[in-house]
Amino acid sequence: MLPLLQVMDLHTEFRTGAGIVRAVDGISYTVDQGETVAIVGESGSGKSVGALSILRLIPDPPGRITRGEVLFAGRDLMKLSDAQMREVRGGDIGMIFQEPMTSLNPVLTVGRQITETLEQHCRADPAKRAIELLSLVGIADPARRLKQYPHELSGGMRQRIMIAIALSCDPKLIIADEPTTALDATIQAQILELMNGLTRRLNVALIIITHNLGVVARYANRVNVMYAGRIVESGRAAAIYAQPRHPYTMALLRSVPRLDRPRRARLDPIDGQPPDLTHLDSGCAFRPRCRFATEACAVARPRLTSADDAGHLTACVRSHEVGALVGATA
Amino acid sequence: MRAPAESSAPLLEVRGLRKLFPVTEGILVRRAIGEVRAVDGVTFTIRRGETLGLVGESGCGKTTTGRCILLLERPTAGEILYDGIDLTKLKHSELTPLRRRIQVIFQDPYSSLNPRMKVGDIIAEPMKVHAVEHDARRRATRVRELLSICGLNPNFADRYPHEMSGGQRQRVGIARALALNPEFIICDEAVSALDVSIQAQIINLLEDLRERFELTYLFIAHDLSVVRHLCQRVAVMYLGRIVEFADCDELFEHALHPYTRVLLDAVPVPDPRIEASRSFRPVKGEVPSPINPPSGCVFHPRCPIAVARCGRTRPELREVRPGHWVACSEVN
Repeated sequence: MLPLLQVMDLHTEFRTGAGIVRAVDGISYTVDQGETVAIVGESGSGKSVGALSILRLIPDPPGRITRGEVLFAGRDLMKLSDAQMREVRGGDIGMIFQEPMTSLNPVLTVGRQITETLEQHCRADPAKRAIELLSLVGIADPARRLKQYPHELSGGMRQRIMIAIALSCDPKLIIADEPTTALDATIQAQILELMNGLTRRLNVALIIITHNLGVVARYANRVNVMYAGRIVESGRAAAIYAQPRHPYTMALLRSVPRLDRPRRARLDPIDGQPPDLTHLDSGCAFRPRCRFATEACAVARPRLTSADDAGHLTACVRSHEVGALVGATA
Repeated sequence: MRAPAESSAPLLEVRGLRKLFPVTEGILVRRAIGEVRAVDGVTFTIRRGETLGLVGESGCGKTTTGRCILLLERPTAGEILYDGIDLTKLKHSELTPLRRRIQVIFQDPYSSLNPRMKVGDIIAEPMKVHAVEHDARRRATRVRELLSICGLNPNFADRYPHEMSGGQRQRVGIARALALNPEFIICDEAVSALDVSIQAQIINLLEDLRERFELTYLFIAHDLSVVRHLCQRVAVMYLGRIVEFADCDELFEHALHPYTRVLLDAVPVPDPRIEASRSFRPVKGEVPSPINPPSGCVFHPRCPIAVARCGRTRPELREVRPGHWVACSEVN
């Protein structure tokens, strides 16, 4: 069966005063129907820009998608007209953003914002469907809530509204960009459980963009780890956590304090600073911070290649050795 | 290396701290129509040399507690004894010398540094304000020393904050906090805005500085994993009150208050095998409004073990094991 979404060699760059920033520098991955794929990375890794590029939501100027194909259910989204693209956004692909206060319109009632999407895309009876949707996302007394404005709702409630809007036209895919980062721990847990439950039940594929390694572990089937605009490691979540192959993924997993492990005397951070994307050289972007770097790493940026037969990919010239080296230094 | 001396007198003692903010109505004539009980009777001590964690979700009062200790907010009631002196009773002029000993590191290294000032001037400013170093050259030397203590190139003194990464800016914020040789630093979500790989660097730096300069920290945060790593004792706050207080290991291994347990349970662990094997049910509901908090125990509407009396009487903090305090009538 063909994957639902195929991102192929996608490039997005921004022209800035300091030079051209290749925010997304040739990423390729697939998402199957109904599965949850996590895109993990730190600020500036290109995880959000990559997702916005799929939806062609990159402001131009300064940004531009320079190359690549995004096949969604067989169609290349990059070749659609603007009108066709508007049909896709909010139709077959739903979106949830980090900050529900800024992604909802403050001067429209919640109900109007839900029915707007419904009218534009799909439904004959938007008012009825809006009530259904609010019940679906666990909002009590939906008829009253529909008349309220976003500022009258809590952060968690607003994010539930965002989920309702994303689900409103029976999408095949939802892209959630840091959906719970702005929320408190208990609310974050509620929202993630809700998203996970609904996407599984309705067989909606989910791309969840996050920096939280715990969230990935709890919800994702597969993971793409990004660094400096590229995917550096990709595979099943279980495999990546059990046996990370890229030095960055290893270092990331090692650097976080964890509640499930005994307290350590000291944390093991990743030294150095995140890369300056305007000044990347031709070598591996992680090289300056990597404890396994050799001269070979300076030659070229390594390509994403198979680390095993189970679909685990890594972009490190020393990937076959680093596992053993970690064992030696740990 | 972590346990501070048990016997030492507390450096800070907060007793019955309350901070109410008025809720007003009207444009020309403002009148109070209610009050937000941001901090509603908080009592704790901080021992010399320890790191005390103050955790809870937004609106629980942890930041307001910190701001009251700094007297950035005037407490409505309660005492804040710093080294035996009640800060709330001091006049402005009497406070100044004490303010030198208490410093703060804020969450956001983007908004807490003046973008028009050079890094060197930012770090030197407290020395000017408190007139501890009149000689400009010696101040500059001290700035370079502080930068290097915080792991930055001393030449960064001539840069502006926008030329630096988030982690570097937070190091500048720390250098500024150290400029007056303080003994007590309030870290208000000091690592929350940082990327994972940088967060660990700053956490290690804070620990090194505590040892090197014998600092005492009040570490205000919402991230439980970070708090567990850094703190010796932890207070959990909910809706303006401390609901549980214990030694760090005791709290994380034997959490007693239902809210603490809910909070711990909400943290996903970075291990898919563990996550797949545990059944997880998030707590229901949201944090109620502090303008009109629930009767009795403020957590009872969301509490998984609440019984009828929880809605009637407010449980006081009581010591259920040595050093382990809980405000819940249903645990023993």
